[in-house]
Amino acid sequence: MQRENIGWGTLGRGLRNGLETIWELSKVVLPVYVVLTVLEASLVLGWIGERCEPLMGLFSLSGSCAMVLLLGYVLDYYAAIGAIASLGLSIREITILAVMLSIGHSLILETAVAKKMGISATRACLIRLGASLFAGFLVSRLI
Amino acid sequence: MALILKGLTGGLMLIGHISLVILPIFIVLQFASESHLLDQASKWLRPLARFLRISERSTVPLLVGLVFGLFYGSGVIIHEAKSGEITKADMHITVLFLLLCHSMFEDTLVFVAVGANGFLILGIRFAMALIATWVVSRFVIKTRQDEYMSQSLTENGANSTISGGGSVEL
Repeated sequence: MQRENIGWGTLGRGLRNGLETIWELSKVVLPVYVVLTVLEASLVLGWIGERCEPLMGLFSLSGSCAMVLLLGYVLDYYAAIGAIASLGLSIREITILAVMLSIGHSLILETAVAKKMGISATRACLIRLGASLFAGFLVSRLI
Repeated sequence: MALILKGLTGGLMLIGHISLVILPIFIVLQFASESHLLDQASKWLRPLARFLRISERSTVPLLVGLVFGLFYGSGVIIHEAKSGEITKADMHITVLFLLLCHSMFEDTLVFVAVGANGFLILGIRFAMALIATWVVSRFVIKTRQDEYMSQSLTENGANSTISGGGSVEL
């Protein structure tokens, strides 16, 4: 941290740091966004969601919640919330889903960003997914 | 092909959108750090930093991540990671904590809006992050413990000489 006079110089330094970082970030965001758009349009998520339905009992959720979780994990929680709204779930189910999704969401994008911060992508992804599933299991027993 | 184009335009729009968020954050943060306001603000994260065994400097990315999230805060966090002022081990712990617990306002409020209990979400997230970082800082990065210990020792030594005046001011 340099100790200089605060003024236009500060503004310039902030702006320069910001622009440099946006450039770095763009290199991550663009490719990831293309992948996500293709994934969203493909049938892959639906197929995986169906396969995961039987597992939802672990979190005392109904089968249709598999798709909600998957949308949240892969895309973002706004996609998941759209699905929650259309499914008409109980408050209990919504709370369990919210706990799980607050810990794990936008995994592809945020993991790509976390990788830039110097952490292994696989590890970052697995830790979040593991913590999310564990928290869901725990909360479903507690409430 | 049309899909890829759609992805590219969507991505560009997202970058435009995050620029609108990131640039002001950077400018405000630059002012905050040059006027030592940031030191004050991250002061109350010190107990957390102590628990996670990370340096005081790490409270800056920690604070930014907790408030702005992993994505919008990423600019500052990546910048801090590259600045070399935070050791690799400290950065690892910080990012690990933030992976599980970040953007405490937006993430929580979004789910409160659909009817979930905000305190429950915050509490569990915070607890999961604490547990995970505790385990990793004690056992997984254990091989680096000696290195980490000596690093933090020299860091403290350096801090007391370089920014000693600053900490007295606070």
